[in-house]
Amino acid sequence: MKLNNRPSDRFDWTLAFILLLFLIVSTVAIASAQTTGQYNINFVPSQIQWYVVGAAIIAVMMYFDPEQYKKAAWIIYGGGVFLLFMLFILPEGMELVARRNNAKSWFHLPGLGSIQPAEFMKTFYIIGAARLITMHNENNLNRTPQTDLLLLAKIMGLLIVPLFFIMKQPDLGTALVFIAITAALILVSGITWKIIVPLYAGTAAFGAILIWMAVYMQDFLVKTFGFSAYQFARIYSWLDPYAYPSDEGRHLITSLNAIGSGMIGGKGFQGREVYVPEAHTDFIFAIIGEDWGFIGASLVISLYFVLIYHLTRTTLQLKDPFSTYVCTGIIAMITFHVFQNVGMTIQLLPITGIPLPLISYGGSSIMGNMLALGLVFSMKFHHRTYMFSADPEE
Amino acid sequence: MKKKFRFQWGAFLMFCVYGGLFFLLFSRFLYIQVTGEAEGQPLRAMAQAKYEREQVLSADRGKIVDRTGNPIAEDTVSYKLIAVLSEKASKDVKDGEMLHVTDREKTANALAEHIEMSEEDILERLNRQDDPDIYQVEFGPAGRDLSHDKMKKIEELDLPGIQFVKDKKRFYPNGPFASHLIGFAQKVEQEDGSVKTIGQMGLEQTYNDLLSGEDGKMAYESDTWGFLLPSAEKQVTPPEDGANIKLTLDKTIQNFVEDSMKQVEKEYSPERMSVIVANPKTGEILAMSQRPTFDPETREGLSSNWLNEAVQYTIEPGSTMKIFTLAAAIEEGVWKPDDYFKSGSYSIYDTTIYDHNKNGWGWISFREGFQRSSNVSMANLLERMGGEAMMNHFRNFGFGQKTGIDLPGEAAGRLNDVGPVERLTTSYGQGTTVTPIQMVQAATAIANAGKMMQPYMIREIKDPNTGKLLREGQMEEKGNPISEETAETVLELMESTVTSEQGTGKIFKLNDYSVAGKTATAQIPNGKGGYLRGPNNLLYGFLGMAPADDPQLIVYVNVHRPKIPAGEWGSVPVAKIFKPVMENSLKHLNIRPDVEEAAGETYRLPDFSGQDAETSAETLAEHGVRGVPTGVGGKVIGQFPEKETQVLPETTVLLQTEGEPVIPDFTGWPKRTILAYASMTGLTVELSGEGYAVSQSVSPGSAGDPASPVVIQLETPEQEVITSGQEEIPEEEQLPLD
Repeated sequence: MKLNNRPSDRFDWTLAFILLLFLIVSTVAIASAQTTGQYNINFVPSQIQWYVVGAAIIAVMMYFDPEQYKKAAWIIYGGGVFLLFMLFILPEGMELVARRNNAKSWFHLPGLGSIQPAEFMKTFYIIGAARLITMHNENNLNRTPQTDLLLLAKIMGLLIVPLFFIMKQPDLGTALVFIAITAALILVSGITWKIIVPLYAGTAAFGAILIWMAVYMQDFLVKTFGFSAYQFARIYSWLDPYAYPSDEGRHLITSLNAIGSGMIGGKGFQGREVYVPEAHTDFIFAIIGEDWGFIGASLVISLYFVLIYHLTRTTLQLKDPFSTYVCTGIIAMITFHVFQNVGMTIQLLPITGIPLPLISYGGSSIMGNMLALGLVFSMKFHHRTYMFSADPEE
Repeated sequence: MKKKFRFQWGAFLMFCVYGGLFFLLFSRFLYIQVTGEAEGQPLRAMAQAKYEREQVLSADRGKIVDRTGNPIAEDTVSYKLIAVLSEKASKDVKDGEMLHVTDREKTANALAEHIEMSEEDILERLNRQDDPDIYQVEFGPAGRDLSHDKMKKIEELDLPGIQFVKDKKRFYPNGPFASHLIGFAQKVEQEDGSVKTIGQMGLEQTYNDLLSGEDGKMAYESDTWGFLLPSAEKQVTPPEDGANIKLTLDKTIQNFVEDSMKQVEKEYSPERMSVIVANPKTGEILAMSQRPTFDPETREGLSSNWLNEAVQYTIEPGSTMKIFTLAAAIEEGVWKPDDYFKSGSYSIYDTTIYDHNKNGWGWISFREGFQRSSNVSMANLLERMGGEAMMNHFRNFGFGQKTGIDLPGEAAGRLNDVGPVERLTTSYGQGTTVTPIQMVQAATAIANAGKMMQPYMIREIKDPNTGKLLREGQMEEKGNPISEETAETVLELMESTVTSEQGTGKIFKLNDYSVAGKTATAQIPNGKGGYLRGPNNLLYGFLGMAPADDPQLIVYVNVHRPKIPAGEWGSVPVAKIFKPVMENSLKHLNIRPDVEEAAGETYRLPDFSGQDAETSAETLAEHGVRGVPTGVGGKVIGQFPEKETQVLPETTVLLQTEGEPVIPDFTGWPKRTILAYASMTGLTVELSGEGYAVSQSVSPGSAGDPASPVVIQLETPEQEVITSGQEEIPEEEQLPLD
């Protein structure tokens, strides 16, 4: 085992290279999306600018080691919740609060642009949850179903606060990301299978029944649970967009048209024929599918797979439980984001307004993801120093 | 160790789940993109269908122009008003400018002042803003076809969300102008929601396919939301503009027609009128119009009658038909102008027909019979030539068959050849139906030395994209129904109806041109086998050509059921159309006035003042002019008309003398001469009626008494039609008169 403490050797060059590839994919895709002249801005330079800001965030993140994050976890989590709370209570008329697409999800900072606290809260939540699980496991070395249930309750308690504010915005997509993160963390938290299996199976069954009822027993849901009919529109326009061409249904149809007409090879750079709304942000994947076809879409998906694979490998190398939990959460977050975003463009999932990590245009999204990846960089960077103390035999 | 073991399993499971999710994405992609289908929908085709439909470059509809290229119907730029409702429009706009409607009430209020839509209706459309699926709304016909001026005015209001789309509009620059011939084109909403200009009536409809042209495509131009997709590959299929139609119509002549008809319509409110102006040498139609009419721009005045009456509507023409009966008789060699016949009535079997003056004029010559428009003279001619011969000639003139003019929906009319009575009425233009264009076609044979010309309206149809002529109207001789000599004889006789003292067409005399023509006063079928009755239920017509010795124009006017003021001649409204149209049109065509030629025959009045009245009268008589002293003998102290005036033979010249006034024979005197007499002598004259004197209350030769007025009845031969009691004729016997 060759030990090397030079910073350049401890830096995760592979991850940095993957991010560079994402930068290239992102700028090309955004450039390809800008054929309609709908906006008077060229988003490509701004996106590069956000990447630069992201790199700076990574650098700052790397300055601190995981132990410090662990210590500051509650402050970080609390700060994030405070932002969401502010967004929730501030009146809509205020200049500080921006409402877009009928969701109160943005702070409007004069001169700086808009910022979406939920994008950062995901990472803050991961840090908080990782700390919570670590502490719980340290305090309960002899696990019993009772302590596992207690842990589950604590995690749920931690989840419920940001989830509430985000559902109120409303931002279903991000809320689902929180649930996905939580699901992954529970899976690795050491909670016994006797609890996890029925819990997950039950949740899955409940979700399936709910969707089934939304389709076939709408009246029952409306009368019994007080749903309103428009809430089902999302489900219908997903399952049969041609019959329900509402805003979302039309969105899905255009997205399907775009991707489907891309066929194997695509139409080439800026070769698009279908106008897909929000092509440079949430629906960037429709552009990739249309302009580069199956080949391009596969390559981009593969790139994500490589990213996930690399993050997983990194996670497995880390010995510190806090870091592993954090990394697990981040992997779950990115994976679910990709799956949800890509899935909605190809009718695999209902449409929710969440961006494609690292490719969609948007400052909050890029900075949020860079914040998360900055943690991974930091953990990898500071990992070897831990090795001496924690796990010298490797 | 146990903890680590469990964790590894969790990680493995997680990785499996993620791998599975990615596998799902891959397979879904593979399915969609390889098959190009989702839920059985062909995505590729859908993507392209959308893209082609959105990218139409609309072709200009072809122009319709007159013979010199003046536009009659053409496309002009117009603007379509739209209101952007969706907030999405204002999203991401840098300087915070609102690009969607922010204040519905204010917007509706402001717009209502500029477009033809009530504030409530506008607001109702703007209220669709509540539906998040609606991006923008239009305002139907009220928001379409806005002029540049209007667009500017609305733009100045600076209403957020109110925008304009450049559009095309069918423009008819001349207002009501051959409207039933040209028709109109209108924007019609198609099933797919697009709006297309489609000809609805007249030439616009008949030639819609040629006029429409072929819309072009821009291979990428815009998508569903109207955003340009500036892709590298430019595939522009330029629009093929519609073909241009050039008519034989002359805008100036058509305007003469429209103006005079407008005047007459105002003055006499006839039920309907039609006018055709044609060039007899070529068969070209120079003007064609009718009343009631409408404005093709606004469709104001458009009734349920969409027929172009000149070709699609049949009439019983009345006495104008006698032109062709006469021509037939001449061809058959039975025309003896100086033979006499007993006018008034004519019987065949149990049927009796009458002249319009039921008592007739006694024994008169056939020439005079024609001049007086005697039905009985025609009956005699028919008897002489035989019904079959006459009907054959009529067929040669094209009656009973479509003329084949290049206009849609032509009617054929019906030659009523059932029996002797029907032939009899046909000889003077009743019972048989014709279209005005058939009359004009037949008249070309008279005007054109026996050669009948095919009437036509379309000079050329040209494809503006290739410059290729798609169709060219050609002068075409249709037949030779009569000889040149016959044509000349008929022309002379027709001229005499205008020039002779007893002619029915005297009021159609023009100032600078000689006219050959024939009047008509026809009864109008009531649709129940009989005819409408009463003085206001007649058709007045005139088929005239000028100059008489070599006609350059045929003008055929029909006025149905005008409201003639009491005492006025029924032909007056016809003359009020015919005279300005013919006279102005000939001048417009630079035809040399021919009345000057008659100047050699006119006499320039010398100054008679101071001379002896008797000798002066003799001097005048030498020049064929009637000199009438106003009193007994003595010196002339004044004259009417003034010295140096050119007078025609037969003119009455008044010579004012110092002596006591003597009542002259006023018969045949025009009104103005009578009035001049009254002012010279100081006698009171009371006139009743219009035209020329026919009777007087004080017998000629008696001394004038300033205390008792002389009552003079003025009349014109045709006026008797209205006044001669038709009610006296037993109903079963009643047959159409002229």
